[in-house]
Amino acid sequence: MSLVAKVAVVTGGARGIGAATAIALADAGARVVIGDLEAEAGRATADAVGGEFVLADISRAADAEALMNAAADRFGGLDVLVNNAGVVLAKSALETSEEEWDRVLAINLKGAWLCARAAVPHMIRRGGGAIVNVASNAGLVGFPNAAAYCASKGGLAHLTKAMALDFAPFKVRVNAVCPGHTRTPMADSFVASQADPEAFLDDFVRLQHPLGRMAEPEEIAHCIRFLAGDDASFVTGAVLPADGGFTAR
Amino acid sequence: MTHPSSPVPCCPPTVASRPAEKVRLDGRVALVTGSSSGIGRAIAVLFAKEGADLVICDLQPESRLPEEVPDTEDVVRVHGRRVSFHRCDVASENDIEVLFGAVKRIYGRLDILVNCAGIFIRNAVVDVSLEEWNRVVAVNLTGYYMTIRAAIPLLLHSGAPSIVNISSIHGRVGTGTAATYAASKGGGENLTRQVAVDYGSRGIRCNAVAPGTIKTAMSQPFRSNPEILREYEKRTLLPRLGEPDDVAFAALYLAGPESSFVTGHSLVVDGGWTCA
Repeated sequence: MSLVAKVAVVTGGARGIGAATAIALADAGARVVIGDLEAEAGRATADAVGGEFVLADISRAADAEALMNAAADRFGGLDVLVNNAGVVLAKSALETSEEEWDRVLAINLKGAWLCARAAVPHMIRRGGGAIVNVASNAGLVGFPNAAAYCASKGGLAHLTKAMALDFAPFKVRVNAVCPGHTRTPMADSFVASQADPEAFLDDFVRLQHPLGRMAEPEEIAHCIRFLAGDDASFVTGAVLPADGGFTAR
Repeated sequence: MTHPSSPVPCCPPTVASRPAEKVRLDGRVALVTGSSSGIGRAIAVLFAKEGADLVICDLQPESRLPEEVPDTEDVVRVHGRRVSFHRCDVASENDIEVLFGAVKRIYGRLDILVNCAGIFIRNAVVDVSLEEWNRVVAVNLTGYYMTIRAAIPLLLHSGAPSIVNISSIHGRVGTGTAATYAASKGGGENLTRQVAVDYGSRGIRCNAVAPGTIKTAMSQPFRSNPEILREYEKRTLLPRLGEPDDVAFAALYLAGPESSFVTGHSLVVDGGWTCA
């Protein structure tokens, strides 16, 4: 699972799963560039892994391109893209405003496509590469009060397969990880927004995940690292749940 | 910002400064069925390289491809791990009992079960005899059930128990007149999910790997038919067919600590076959 001499971009790498992924990739020898809207936390993670930070709103094409160009300029190329940047919206389809819908889809779905589109030309110059999209178990099954989020993550899981087809001739693999409930600032905010957070955690996390617990960000990061590395060199178009058995039920 | 058409490499990674990679299955005891050839052989050897001690079994100790020498048992020994080969028909309840008796006698414990023993018949449903159907289902599905049933009492005492069932993309998509095989593999996929749900709360993870076309003895007769080979290459998006090691690395990932929150999943290792 060595990633020595590989260059990786992690979007949304300031915190949570993205930060854990930056650390896991760096541990395997990769040079890591973090793109995020949060400058302070993003720089702190980049410093911790000896990498670079680029301020980027990946829902904008210009920012996505600047991020990939910056990584390639700094480290001489680009091999791995982890599309991890995402937002959650705890609202039903009735409550969601058009503006909210557009924002969730722009970051979670369009942003992943923009980043992939900007990254692949760099990967082709290296003779291949790997893209890992961080979707969600909400992209595989429906959840109440999360319509835009479910739609964006379902779209991302499907975009994974379409891009796997488009990029296979260039030896660029595209796969997705679908985390279950993971201990991150984003998931914590989602729990806090529930009417009864304690009851939600008990029912959702302990009862509906057969492993009976939530994931740590490092556990998701290790799945991402597997798909990013050469151990998975014949794996493309795969959508891999890391959800404690949630979607096996 | 300059355009990356003329990349200037800087700060080359210093390989020497990185710590040696740790083995991922250090000291764990793994049982691998169907170990003499192809995918099972690759898994047994990779697991030994990663520090596991092994019990391996097959109908015969010899591999089915001439290039697969020496026997798996001897390759594992080269890597300095303990290994014990047993002749076993996984469709035989008595053979499974003897096999697990050996696991208990030799190690007294088990951390990983890999179900890989399998057989393939290429036939349309009207051309399959009941005898052939029963044999394929007995090995590919009933055999998995019997090893899992015998392994669970041991796995409950493991600190990191994991079951990996080698399935097939034929377990999820129809292709190539393989009715019996596809039915058995589809059953295995559902058995995987059910074991994951039933034993997750007690810490046992259960996943599958669903390979596409892998260069094994099992696929050799079909790969040597130019028409079938063309179909395999057309459906495999990546510009190569799979190697047994591709499946072994996926099995290692699912057997080891990296996948600690993954259970009930069947991971496709098919070069993109099933995403189109």
